[in-house]
Amino acid sequence: MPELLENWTVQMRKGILELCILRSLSQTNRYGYDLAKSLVALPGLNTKEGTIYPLLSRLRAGGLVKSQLVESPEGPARKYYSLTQHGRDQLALMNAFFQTLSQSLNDAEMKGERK
Amino acid sequence: MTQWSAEAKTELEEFLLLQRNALHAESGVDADEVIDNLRTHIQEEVRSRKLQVVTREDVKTITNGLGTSSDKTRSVWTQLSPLSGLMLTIFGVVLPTISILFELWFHLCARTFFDPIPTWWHVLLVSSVPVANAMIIYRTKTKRFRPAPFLTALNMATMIIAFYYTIAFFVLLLPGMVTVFYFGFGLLPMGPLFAFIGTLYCRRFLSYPPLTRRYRWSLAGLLSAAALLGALELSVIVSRIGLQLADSKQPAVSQTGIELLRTLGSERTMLQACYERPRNVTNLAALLLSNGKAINQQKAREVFYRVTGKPFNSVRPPRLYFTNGRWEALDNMTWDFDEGLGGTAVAGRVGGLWLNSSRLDGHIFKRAHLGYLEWTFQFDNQSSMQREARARILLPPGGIVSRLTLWVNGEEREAAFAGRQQTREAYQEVAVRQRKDPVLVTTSGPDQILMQCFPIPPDGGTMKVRIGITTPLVMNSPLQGRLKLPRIIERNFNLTAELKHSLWLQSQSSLSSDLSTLHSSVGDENEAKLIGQIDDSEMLSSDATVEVLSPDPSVRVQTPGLDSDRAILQELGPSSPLNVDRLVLAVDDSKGIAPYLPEIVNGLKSLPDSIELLVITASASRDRQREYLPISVEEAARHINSITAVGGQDNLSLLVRAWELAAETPSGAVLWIHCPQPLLIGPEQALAQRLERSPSRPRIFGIQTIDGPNRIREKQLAIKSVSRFDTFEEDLTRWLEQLNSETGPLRFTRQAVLKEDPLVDPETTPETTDHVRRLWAAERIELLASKVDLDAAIRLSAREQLVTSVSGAVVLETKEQFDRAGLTPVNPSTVPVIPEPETWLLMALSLGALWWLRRRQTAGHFCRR
Repeated sequence: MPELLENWTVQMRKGILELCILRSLSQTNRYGYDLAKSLVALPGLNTKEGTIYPLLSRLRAGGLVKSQLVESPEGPARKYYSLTQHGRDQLALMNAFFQTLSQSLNDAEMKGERK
Repeated sequence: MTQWSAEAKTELEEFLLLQRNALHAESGVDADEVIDNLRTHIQEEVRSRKLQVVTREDVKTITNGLGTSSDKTRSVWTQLSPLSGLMLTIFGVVLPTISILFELWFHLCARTFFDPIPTWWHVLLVSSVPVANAMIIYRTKTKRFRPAPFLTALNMATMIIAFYYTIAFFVLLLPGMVTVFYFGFGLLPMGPLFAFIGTLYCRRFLSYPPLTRRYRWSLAGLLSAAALLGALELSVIVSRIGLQLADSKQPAVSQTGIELLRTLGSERTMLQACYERPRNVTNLAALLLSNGKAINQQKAREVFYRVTGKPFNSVRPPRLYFTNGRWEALDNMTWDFDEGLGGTAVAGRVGGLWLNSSRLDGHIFKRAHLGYLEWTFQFDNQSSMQREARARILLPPGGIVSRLTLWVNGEEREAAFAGRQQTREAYQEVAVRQRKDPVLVTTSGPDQILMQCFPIPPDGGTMKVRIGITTPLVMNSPLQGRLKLPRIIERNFNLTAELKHSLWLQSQSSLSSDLSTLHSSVGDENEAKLIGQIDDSEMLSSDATVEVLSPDPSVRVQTPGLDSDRAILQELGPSSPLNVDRLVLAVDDSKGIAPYLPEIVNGLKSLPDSIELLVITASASRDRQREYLPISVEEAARHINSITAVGGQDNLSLLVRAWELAAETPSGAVLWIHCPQPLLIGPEQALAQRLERSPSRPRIFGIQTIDGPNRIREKQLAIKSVSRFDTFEEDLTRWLEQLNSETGPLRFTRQAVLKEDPLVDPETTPETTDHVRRLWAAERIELLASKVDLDAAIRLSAREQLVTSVSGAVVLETKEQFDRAGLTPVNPSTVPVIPEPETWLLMALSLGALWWLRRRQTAGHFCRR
């Protein structure tokens, strides 16, 4: 992959990874390991667990997500993450921005076709 | 169940440690949370892979898939460049180590400024600084770093310790820099500063833990160092503050200092102050608190007594360094100069001076009920300086020194007896100025003498002295008497471990003692012997008493008088009862009285009902407004039981107040129950004034708990001592019982009469030893002295060769010295000796012949008539 493209995809992934985490948590509480695995499995995101955990910690420190320990029948208690109200508000704003950005991208493409 | 191999565990922990270090640099990330998630993740991976045994490779495989980088984190540990490492090693490890070892070996700072490492605990404390720095450097250079919160804590602790010592050495930094600049040496005072900088520099290599945990361990280190320094220095600091307060001229502030020291003071620190000289403090805290100016030595000794109730020189001195070396211990220490040389105080112990032999020979004269003892001391000086031996010796009750000799070049020389001042001046001239061989004995209060001899040659030199003591027995009945052995109650020399006082007593009466080390036997001519070896502690006990049982009691004896037409008569009879109407019990509530309080309570039960009783304690006597009313024995018992005995109390105020209370009735008396009085605390002149102006009313009696120095007794005030023979309770009971009995205890009366007196009849009044005359003379001398006829008193002392309150005995080395001092040594043929068995037989025969001749002369006289 050319260097320009590689840098661009890295920047894109960095920006979008937080949105992915928040979206994953918007529907249900997620076990940290489970969340990481599911995000790593997303095609195109091309991320690693080693990147996701620090990001989760930063989001928690920012008050967007919260964690709680839940007893597990398979071993020690598991740490489950969920969105806080502040996280939901931020996610709504991020979604809105992302839709606007996506719409803008589509609009830019259609304007190009009209020409 | 999944098993983790040791290597796998190590690999996991190393991985997590490196992640933690990397995360530490990232803002907004809780490293603990991430590490926790990573650990859980790896465990979940292991579970999902269904691994039975987890190997190092498994961990590596899993961690490699996590997408974390280890290169960045490892780089942290390689920041120590070779030059930095070398500098850190030199200044953070080597220089501080050399400083510590140098001080340990040469004590340069201790001798010149203060002792920075007075105990081995201090050595351990300061040694931890270079050790901690070395550990961090080693771990950093070798990259063999494990999670080591311990090192974080240790680094902080050593930083605090180094900082403390940097402050202490702050005043020496500038001179140190100047000497380095000009002379190229003097780095050692900067050791603590360099060590402190070293610990600060090492801290940057301890940045691996997350901030919160790092703070936690740092706090632990800080608290540990504070606790250790506090444990070692806090009591010293408090004691120094207490000493400064106690030194105040304001009584309230001084009392606050005393109370503080009694509660929190360190005895060791107070004892140090007793031996320090101005501007030679021996402790770091002392230096910081007092700006290098120590409390006055004498004041420190007084404070020590007031706080502890013990004389400072009765306690093993602390280990101190001075210019000439170290005070190792009481039995082997060095004092660079003897503060008491030639003086009248025994003062502190001096190093290297030992009493290596002590021999007590004696003869009890059956008819005269008296004894003559010769106590021979040999001193040994192992120090490198000439030394003076000084001792305060308590004589048997009523005893006087009647002979003094000194061995000069192997020959025993007799003393000159003269006025007290004259003998002391001669001693000081010869001993202190000329540094020749004299010995001096003067009295130091009733039944007490001060013996001093100088110079005992250095490096194993010896000096031998003999003191002759004439003493009456204390009679329970005409048949039974008791002799309390003399004892050393204060000394500036040490006793060798194997030292025993070797006793040999002989008499025509039977002799016995409660001391198991003394053995009675009967020799030729029915002469009884009491022989044995006594420890010094036994000598100081009430058991050091000899019971004398005489089968042939003589209540009246005679001996030739000073003039040929006179004889001295001695009669034994009951004394007059005291007839007391009020007894003021003055209790010294110093610390040492505590074990005797129950005995006082029991003894008080013997107080006759007719006597009014008041009880006053030393601590309460300071309150002049307090009123005292007569109380019953039961109330007195409750009061005495509630006494809190603490420190050393002001007994002069006690005696003044007790005297005033006793003076309120016509026949009041004071019984002063007290511990040893190593210091005069309180209004000395107020008491002296009362006792000098009114010596006979009210009377003051003193009963001392244990033998020891008594400065009040030394003042020759009219305080009569109650003789101690048995337990405290028994002696107290006996004294109280005879207070208002019909007759008082048996006592001797001695008088000079003309030979024509009908009482001077050899048939009814047998002739006996001339020691009777010496005892009569001693009484006569005190009478003359009390009438301020000092010349007559001194003349009689010199003639009878006695040491009294007005006279002393001194042995000088040469005739020239005697002549220059205007003194004449006594004729050896006139001195008392202990009769050899053969001599005794000869004396008996001579006395018999004399009696026969006189009888014949008398018979002839009547025949001629």
